[in-house]
Amino acid sequence: MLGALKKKRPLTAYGLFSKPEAAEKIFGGARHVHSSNLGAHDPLVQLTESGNGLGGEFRFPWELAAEARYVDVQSAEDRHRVLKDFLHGLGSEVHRTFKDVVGTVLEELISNAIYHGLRLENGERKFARLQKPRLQPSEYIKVGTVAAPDGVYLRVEDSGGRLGFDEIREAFHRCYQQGVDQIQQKECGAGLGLYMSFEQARHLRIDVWPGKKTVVSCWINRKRVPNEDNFSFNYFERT
Amino acid sequence: MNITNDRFKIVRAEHEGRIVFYLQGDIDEDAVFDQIAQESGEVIINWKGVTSINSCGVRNWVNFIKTVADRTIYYIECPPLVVKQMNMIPSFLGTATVYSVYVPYVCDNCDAEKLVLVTAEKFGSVEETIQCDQCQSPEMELDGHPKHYFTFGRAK
Repeated sequence: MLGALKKKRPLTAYGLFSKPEAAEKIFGGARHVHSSNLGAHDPLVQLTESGNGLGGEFRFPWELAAEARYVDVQSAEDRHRVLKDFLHGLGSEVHRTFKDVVGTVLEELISNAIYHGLRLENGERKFARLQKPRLQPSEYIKVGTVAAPDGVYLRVEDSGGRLGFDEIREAFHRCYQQGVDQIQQKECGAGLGLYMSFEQARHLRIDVWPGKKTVVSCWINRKRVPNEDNFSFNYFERT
Repeated sequence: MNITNDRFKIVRAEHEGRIVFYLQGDIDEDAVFDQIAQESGEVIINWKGVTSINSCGVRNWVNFIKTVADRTIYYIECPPLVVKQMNMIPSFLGTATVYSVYVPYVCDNCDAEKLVLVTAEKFGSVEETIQCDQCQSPEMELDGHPKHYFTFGRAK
């Protein structure tokens, strides 16, 4: 009995963490990490717990899917157009440094969907990174964006449903070790892009319907916030 | 000039008797840096013209910088997006010495933005607030967390 309890890893971790500490929690098996000084009273923790066992979708307050403007990405070259259009749409009054962050994260999310979300049935990578593929009629990548006064909401959905939790936890662990292994010698993997997105976003949520679709969404604050350690990570596997 | 693709190029120029490589555009999976390795002696990289770096670009750069690790490498005029990469991914810096970076400031009053070039000897004592050139407010703040912006210096 005790052995079984020891083996059972917590799915939700809450407390006040740095991003590297959160990555260690994720590596330890936590699929939901909420960092704030509210602990278990953090409304996001309660929302996660209430939605954790559900098969359907639910929304965190930072998610603005209903208000998003959606565009389809048809090919690898398309992502440059989508990025350019969105960043241009933010307007000239938005600071360059914020645009840089948003551009980096959005490109990583779209590239991950193209090169890692859409895989062969056996799980092998379908496209090499130097290829410039066009999607097949049966495949789709849908990008939703909202530019709010206090930040930006990004949502990228692909028809692959292949982003496994183990892949994410190992990538985060490797990237936060900050050692020579941080960059793998092999061709670009999904891990570094997700790590860069997690580092720069305040909230990151991944929903996977295995073999059907993946939705990665995030919220990026426009300005410096008083408590930088308030953030969340959520991975939901749906049926 | 070496054009590696339509979104990225490297310009080689002589500045006060030293060779400087100006990187310009988007560093991604298509970016190639071979031209830099062909030059002997110290390597001075000017990052000012870089407009974006994705994860594959980071990987390309990290793998490239390892091939010239036995040479003296300087990074100069690093914009915030390059500083961010150096902070997130220490191997992006490799064995290079950072000579200067741009520090971003934004004005709380009029929303103006300004990049201030700071050289290495001032990395530890950069001003958190400066006066805004546009509205003269004294509250133009460093855009980001001051303690985090120079993390790359501590990693060295």
